[in-house]
Amino acid sequence: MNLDFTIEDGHFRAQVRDWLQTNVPRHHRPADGPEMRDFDIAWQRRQYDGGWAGIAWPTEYGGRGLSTIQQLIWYEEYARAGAPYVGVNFVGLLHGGPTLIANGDEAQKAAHLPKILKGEEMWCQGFSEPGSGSDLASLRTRAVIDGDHLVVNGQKIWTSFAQWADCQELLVRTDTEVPKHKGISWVICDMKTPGVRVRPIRTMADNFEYCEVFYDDVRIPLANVVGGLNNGWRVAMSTLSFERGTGFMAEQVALARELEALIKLAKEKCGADGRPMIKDDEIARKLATLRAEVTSLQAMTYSSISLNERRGTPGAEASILRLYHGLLTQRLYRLSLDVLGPASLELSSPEEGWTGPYLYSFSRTIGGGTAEIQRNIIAERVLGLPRSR
Amino acid sequence: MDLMTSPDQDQIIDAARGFLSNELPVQYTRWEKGAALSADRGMLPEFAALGWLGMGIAEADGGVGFSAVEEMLLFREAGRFLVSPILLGSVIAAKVAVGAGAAALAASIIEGKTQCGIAIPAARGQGPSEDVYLIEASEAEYVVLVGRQTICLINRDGLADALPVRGVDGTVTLQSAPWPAAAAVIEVSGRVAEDILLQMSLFIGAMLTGGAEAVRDLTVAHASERSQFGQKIGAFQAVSHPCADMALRCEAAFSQIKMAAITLRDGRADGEFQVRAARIVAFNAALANAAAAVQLHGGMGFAAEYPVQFFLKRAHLLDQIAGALPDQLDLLLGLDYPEQ
Repeated sequence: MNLDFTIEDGHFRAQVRDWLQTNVPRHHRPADGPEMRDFDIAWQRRQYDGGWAGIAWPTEYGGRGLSTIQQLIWYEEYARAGAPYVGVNFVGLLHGGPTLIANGDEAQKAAHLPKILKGEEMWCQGFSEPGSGSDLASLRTRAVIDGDHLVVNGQKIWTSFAQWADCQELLVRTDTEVPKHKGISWVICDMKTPGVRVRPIRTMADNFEYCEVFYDDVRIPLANVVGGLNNGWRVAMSTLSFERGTGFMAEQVALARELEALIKLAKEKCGADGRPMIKDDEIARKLATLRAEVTSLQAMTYSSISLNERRGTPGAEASILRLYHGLLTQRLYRLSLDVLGPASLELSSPEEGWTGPYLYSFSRTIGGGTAEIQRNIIAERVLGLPRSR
Repeated sequence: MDLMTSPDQDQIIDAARGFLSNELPVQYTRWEKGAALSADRGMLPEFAALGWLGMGIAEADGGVGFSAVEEMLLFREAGRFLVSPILLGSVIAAKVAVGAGAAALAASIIEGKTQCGIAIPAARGQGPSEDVYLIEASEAEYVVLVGRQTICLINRDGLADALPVRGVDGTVTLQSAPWPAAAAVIEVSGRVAEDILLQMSLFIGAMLTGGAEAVRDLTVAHASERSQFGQKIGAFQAVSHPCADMALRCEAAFSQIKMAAITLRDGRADGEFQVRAARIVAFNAALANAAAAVQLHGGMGFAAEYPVQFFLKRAHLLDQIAGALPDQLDLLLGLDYPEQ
C-alpha cells in the first residue's frame, strides 16, 4: 500500500501542468448554443495539436495510450488548472470512440477515430426511448434490412447534444422474434441522413442539453453495424461499464475543487448577523462533513484505479463511485444555496456559479443509469443479493 | 500509487480474522455474564503472543516494527469482532510509555502483563474539577486518559473512588471517578502526543470501519436467507437498496482509512487531514450501517440476543474517545486543504 508516484509519473505531471497552464481557455465554457459547440471544438483541437487528445485511447488510433495512473494525473492537473468540461465531445471521446476501438472493424475505425480526436466529428448517444429508460433492453426503435441497408423507424429521447452531433451511437431492434437482449444492434447513424429529425428539450437548468430524435425511414448502410448484427446489447454494455468506470474520473477529481471554492465563499460571505457564514455551526459542520466525504471519494477513486491496475477492467464497484459522486455533488450544491442566502435567487449558467450547477446536479443521479439502477447493480453484483425487480 | 493490500498485509488480516472468529465470535453469550467476565479479559497474553500489542512499536523499543498501515488493518478486524477496548488501551499505553521513556512499563504492556483501560473526561470542559469515565478499567493497572488534544498514562492508584456506571454499551465496563491526582501521571507532550493521538483516531476509524463492514455482512446474509411473500427479502428493493447504501459507506470508509494510514506512516503533511476525514466517514458509516441493520433485521434487530445492536452501541462508545464527531468536524474544517 503506497501513494508513491514513479519518477516518470512525476515528470509526466510536470509536463501536463506546464502545458495546461499555458493552454487552458481563459473564458468560461458557454452553457448552450453554437458558441458552446465552437468552444468545445476549439478546446478539443487545441488538445489534439498539443498531443493530448484521447489520453486513454491506444496509440495506434492516435491516442496517448496512457496508463490509468497517468490518466488520473492528467485529470488531477486538469481540475487543478480549471480546464473545462469535455462537453459535446463526451460521447465521441468517452463512449462511441472506445466502443469502436473495442468492437469496430478497420474501416469503421479509420473513418471515425481520427476525426473524433481532432474535434471534427461530434457524437451523440441514441439509447433511451420514451418507453425504455432503466429497462433499456425493451427498446422498440425498429430496423429492417433492405438490401445492403437498415431502414430505421422510431424515436429516441434524452439524447445529449443531438442538435450538434454528426454521428450517433444508435441502438435498434433488428430481431423481434428472440429474447429482448438478443435482437438489438449497435449502429453508427449519420445525423444528416434524410428522415432524422431532432427536437431539443429544455432542461430544468434552463439549457438545451438533451433532445428527442425521430427516425422516419432512415436508411443506414449495413456496413455501419458495429460488432455484428443482433450483438448490440453486448457492445452497448462495454460502453456503459466504461462510462461508469474511468469515464467520470475528471468529474470525481474536480469535485474537491468545487467544495474548496464553497468553503472559501463561506469564509467571505456574511450572514444576516454580519459574521461570515462559516461561523454558523450548522453550515460549518455540513461543510466539514462534505470535506471528509469528498476526500473519501478521492480515496475511492485511488482504490478503484489500484484494483483496475491489478485486474485490467472496471467492475461493478464502479457503480458505487458513480452513485457516491452523484449524491455528494447534489449535497454540495444544495449547501451552496444556504451559504449564498438571498443571492441564491439569481440563476447562474450550469457551468459557473452555484445555482445553475445546483439545478444541473439533479441529473447526476439520473444520467448514465439512475441511482436506482446503480443500487440494483451494487446489490446484485457487489453484494450477491438475489435479483430484484 | 497502490491502495491494494500486499500479500504480507493479507496475511495479517487473515491471521487476525481466523483467530478472532474462533476465540471471540460476536455472540450474545460472550457478554451474558457481564462485560467484566467476557472472554476478552483473558486474551491479553494471546494478543501479546500474536505481536498485536507492540505491532507498531520499533524493534529497538521491544515492538514488532510494523507501520500504521498494518496496525490499521489489525484494528479493522478488532472492530469487526468488537474486541474489548483493552486492546486499543494497551496498544496506545505502550506507545505513551515508550514516548515518555518508561521502558520497563512499555515492555510489560507489550508482553501482555499489564492491562490498560481508557479514561475520558466526563464533560466537555476537560479540567481537573471534573470527573472522568473509565472504560474497561475495572481490573486495569493503568488507564490512558485521553482528551481532545492531550494524552497521558495514569496508574490505577491515582484513580480512587471509582464507581460503576450503567453504560449504553454493555459489552464494556464503565466507571466514574474524580480527576486523577497529578502524582500518578506519566505524560507525553508536543509532537509525540500529537502523533499518538492521531494514531488513536486512526485506530478508532479502523474499528468503526470494521464494524460498518460486519453489520453489512450480517444484513446481506439475513436478506439472502429470510423469505417473505414467497421470495428472499433481499430481492425487494426496499431491502436491497439500503444494503447497497451500506456497501457504499463501507467502500468510502475503507478507502479513506487506507489513505489515512499511508499518509501517517509516510509522515506526509496531510496526515492529520486524512485521519480526521477517515474518522468522520468511518463513524458515520458505522452508525448509519448499524441503524440500517437493526431496521432490516426487523424484530430480531431490536432483540438483545442478536448481534447487530452491539455494533450500534460500540460505534457511539468509540466516537467519544479522543474527540467526538463535532470536534473532529471543527478540526478538519480548520485545516488547510492539502495541495499536490
